[in-house]
Amino acid sequence: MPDVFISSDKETTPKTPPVLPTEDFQEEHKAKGMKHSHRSRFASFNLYPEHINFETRRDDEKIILMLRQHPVINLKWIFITAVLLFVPSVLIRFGLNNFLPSGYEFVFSLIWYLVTFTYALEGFLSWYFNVYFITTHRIIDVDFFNLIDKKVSDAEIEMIQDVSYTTKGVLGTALNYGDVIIQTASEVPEFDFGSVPSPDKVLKILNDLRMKTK
Amino acid sequence: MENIFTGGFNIWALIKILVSILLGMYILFAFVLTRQVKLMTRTLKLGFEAPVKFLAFIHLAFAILVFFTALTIL
Repeated sequence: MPDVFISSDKETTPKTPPVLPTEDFQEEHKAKGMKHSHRSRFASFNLYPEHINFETRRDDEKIILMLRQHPVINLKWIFITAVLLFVPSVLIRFGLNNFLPSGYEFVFSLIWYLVTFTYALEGFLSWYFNVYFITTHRIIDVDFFNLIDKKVSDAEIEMIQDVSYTTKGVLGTALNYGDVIIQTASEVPEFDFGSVPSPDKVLKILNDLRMKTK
Repeated sequence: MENIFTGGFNIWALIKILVSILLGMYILFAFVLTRQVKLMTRTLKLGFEAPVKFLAFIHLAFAILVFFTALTIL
């Protein structure tokens, strides 16, 4: 008697996350006008970066996009640092330091410059190390704040439930940067890619990835 | 009339001690910062590791310099 039902072999290997055909995806993005980034190390929008890596990257994982805040964000700390640098000179010029004994004036100026240096370093490092990755498998948010605190969160692409973006203010509209909010079903329910350039393109890439992983 | 500046108690000596303690703590902070930058550059390879580590090291060196200057001059 012929078999009515022949069961297929049971899958014994564990299910691995889908690996996207990155090259095809890359070609697709090129066709859409999104070019490969060959820009400086300080670029905020790096599509398919070649010389960028992170410690927890898996062997079969490729970085599609590396983002950080728009460079214009740095203007605030640069301006404040410039003002702070002139404070000791202004105090000396107007004689506001006359009550200090000899020697103290010099040391206090040095301390002031040390604090200013720390402030500038904090501004730069917070911007430089605050990065967001979109890879073939995951989204990763690396937060570096207060110089000694850091937080790294990630979520699988399949866990993304909703993506939206907002562009705020005159500068945000003029320079095309904004916040990309990603709702996920993972341990971290919401990812906020703050003040990133071209949020519309980020949204498009994330939506494309989600479609491909479905 | 005797005040704190002319009396036995010298406010500037107290300030010197406080400044020295604060600068000593600042050196510790600067050292922790260099460690943190080292960890971050190990976690993220963004192509600017050496200059960033150098900046953190310069910051530590500056903090040590200010500490010893304060000890010498004040």
